[in-house]
This record gives sequence, structure tokens and C-alpha cells, in this order.
Amino acid sequence: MSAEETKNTIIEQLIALDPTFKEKEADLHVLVSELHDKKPSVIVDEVFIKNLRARLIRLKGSRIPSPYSRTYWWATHLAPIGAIAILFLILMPNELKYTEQQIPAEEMYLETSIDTRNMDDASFKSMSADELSSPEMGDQFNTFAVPESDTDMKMRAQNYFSLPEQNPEAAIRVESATFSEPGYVVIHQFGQQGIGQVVGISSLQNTGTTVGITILLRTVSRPNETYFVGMYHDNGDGIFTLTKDSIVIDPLMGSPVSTIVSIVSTENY
Amino acid sequence: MDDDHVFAKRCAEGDSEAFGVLYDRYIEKIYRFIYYKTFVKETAEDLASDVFHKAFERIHTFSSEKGVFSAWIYRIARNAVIDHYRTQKKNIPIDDVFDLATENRTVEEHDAISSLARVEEYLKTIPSRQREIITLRLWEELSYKQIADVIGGTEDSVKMAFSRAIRELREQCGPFALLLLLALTTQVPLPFRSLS
Repeated sequence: MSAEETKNTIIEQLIALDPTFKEKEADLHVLVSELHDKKPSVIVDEVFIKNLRARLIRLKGSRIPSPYSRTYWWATHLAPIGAIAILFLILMPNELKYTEQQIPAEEMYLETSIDTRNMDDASFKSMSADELSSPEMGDQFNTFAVPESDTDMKMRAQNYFSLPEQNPEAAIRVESATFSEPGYVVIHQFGQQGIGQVVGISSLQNTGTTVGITILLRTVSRPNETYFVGMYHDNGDGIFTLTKDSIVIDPLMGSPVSTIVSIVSTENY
Repeated sequence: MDDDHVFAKRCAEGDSEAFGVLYDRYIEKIYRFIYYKTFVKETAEDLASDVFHKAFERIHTFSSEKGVFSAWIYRIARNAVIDHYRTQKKNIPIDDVFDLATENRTVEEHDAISSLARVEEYLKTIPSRQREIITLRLWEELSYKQIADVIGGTEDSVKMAFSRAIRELREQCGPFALLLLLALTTQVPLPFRSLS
């Protein structure tokens, strides 16, 4: 509700309560408006907010797992097979030959609009093909050259996640997430304007695989809504900060380890 | 928010991430609410910190059947401010936003008070309870029911108190004083503003 709507609502309620106010409605509007608009401006220290949040969350570090944070039997049993497959990929780098790829501009739109390091706050903007080819963006897009080192192969293998089907609720569920170093799974709004504000952040995930992560959203998701889900590495302070923590880049693809998820209506079942 | 109670329930069950959601929703509101009553950054931060620690520890005592989460946490904040001034032994009306001591304030804090002082001239003529209802309704934009849950009383009594306070202010001000109020509180020249 806008400020003007709020004021009008208050005035309407006052008149409903005491109809004699109607005679002096103009005076009433001036008075309510001035009282409302003179609300002192207060800027809250963001560092204070983040530090207090981190302290509170740590306070109950040994939290009771949510009902979704359970270990699935198949994840336990298939993990050794996955590990062997990853080991095979690491040990056989020469078998995998990659060349530099030409990526169409329409695909680059998605890839490039998620470099969080140069963006204000939690907002992202879309970029045109011209912007993408600007000199200042040049270094950024060198990442599209496909690397071939063992380290990169290892990195790729060690940062991935999977999502189950998502139904409307106040959370996004992550089946499993594997980090090469501590980090977060982060949910952004996603729509026609591209990638938007952060609407959900997992707790700090340690190196290795975590199964069954529930990431709470600011609001309940609705059918057909889409979200961008990405992995970020923590910069060491244990607090997620969009401008400081770096999104995990897949060294093979030169793009973030991410996916777009759509909320499925439960009515489909 | 309509689903606050869902997150509160999850938090009570041990899910600290659910508390994080509630924290994100309310930290700035609660901070501002406290700041209006103290006007000292450090004090507001200390009290806001206390409020959320208490809320975190006592979340299991919150019941959505007894009221909404917002009223519950505002009530904790209000009590924290009252306790703060009791321990400070300030001999002032607890509910009073406007008569607090002025020591240890920054320039910005003095500016905020100065801005408020212009409206204060009019608000100080009404009882502190009515004044608090006005600030909660107009600045925090709480509903009458939420205000009743925070400060005590019934929704109807809060409505009546708010209506009475506005009537008293309007009658005390009168058309001339309202013009003066406009001149004091805006940078816009009077000829450009109209009351009718």
C-alpha cells in the first residue's frame, strides 16, 4: 500500500468512526498527511543487521533438522559410484578435448547477467549484446574460453547441485549440493527482466556433499513462478554478501553453476 | 505478513533459518520503532539486539491464536525500551517519545529530533498513550488490532483513542495553525499549498 493510500485509508476509517470529520475533511487530510510525512528518516546500519543476523543464527547452530533435511537411501548407496565416476573424469583429462565455443548473444544474455560482483545490492540488470562486447566487459568474457587443466576439471566435479520438482510453498528444496569449498545455494527471482533480487539463501554449507537442504523464501512461491538457483563460495566471513561472495563458475562452460527452476502446480497431480 | 506464524512455528521447532526469515522482515521496523523512542544509534542497536535475542529464545511462547507475530515482537521491543529507561533511572514518562535526554547524540540524530520537534509542538498537547497510538498507526502503519496487542486494550478503544487524538489536534491547531504546521514542516512556499 502506498503512503497516499495509507493516508486515505486512515482518513476514511476516521470518517466512518466519526461522521462529523467529513465536514472538515480537507483539514483532516492536511493534518494526517503532515503527521505521516514527518516520520523521521532512519537509516539502519547494514553491518549491524548482518552481524546480528549471523550471531542469532549461530546461536542455535545445532538446530533440529527440518523434515526435508533427511538423507535419502539412494544418495548414500549411489555416492560411491558417483565418486568413482568423478575420479575417472579427473584421471582421464586427455580423453576430453574441448575447444573455444561461439556462444550466441541470446545465450550470453543469461550467462552474463549473473556476475554479481559488479551489481548494485541484490539487483541485476539485463545486458544487450553491445554491452557484452564492451571493452570493460572483455576480461569477464574471457571465461568463455574453455579451460583444460586438471584443477578446473576437479573444480567442476566438486561444485554441483540437484533439485527435485518444486511445489508452491515457502521454500525451495535442494536434493543435494556439493561444494569444493564452503558456500551457499542462493535463490534469485527470475522473470522477463532476467535475474532479480535474492529471495532465499541456504545456511553456510561446508565442503563436501549435503543432502536435503531447505532454503526458505521470503514469500510463498506460486505455480509457474521461476527462480534462478546458483552456488556461491563464501569469502571467509561466514555471512552471505552478494557483492563479496563469488558465484561459482563452471570451468568447462565458463558460466555459473546454476539452474532455472519452475514451481509446479500441485493441481497437476 | 500473513505467513509469519508459519515461520514462527518452524523456528519453535528448532529451525533457525525460519527465524532468519522473520528477522529479515522485522529488523528494520523494530530498529526504527526503538530509534523513535531513543534517538541514539548505539542504544537502538543494543535494544534491537536484545529484542531479537529474546524473541529467539522465547519463540515457543508465541501463539498465533493469541495474536499476530508483528504485535508480539513489537510488544517485546516496547518492553525493552521501558526496561532500558527504568535501568537508566530516567524520570520521564516511559511512553514519551519526545522528552528523552539529549546527551550522546550525533549531528544526524539531532537533525532527526529537530525535524520531529516541529511536529512535537502539536503532539505534546495530547496524552502519551494517544501519542503512541498516533505514531504506531501513522509511522509504523500497524492496524488498530495490532496496536491494541502491543500497548494493551481493545481494538475499539484504540480506534476511539486515535480518533479523539486527531480531533483534539485538529481543534487545537485550527486552520491558522495547520497553515503554520505546513510552513514549518515543508520546504514548499505556502502559496503553492492549498488546504481545500
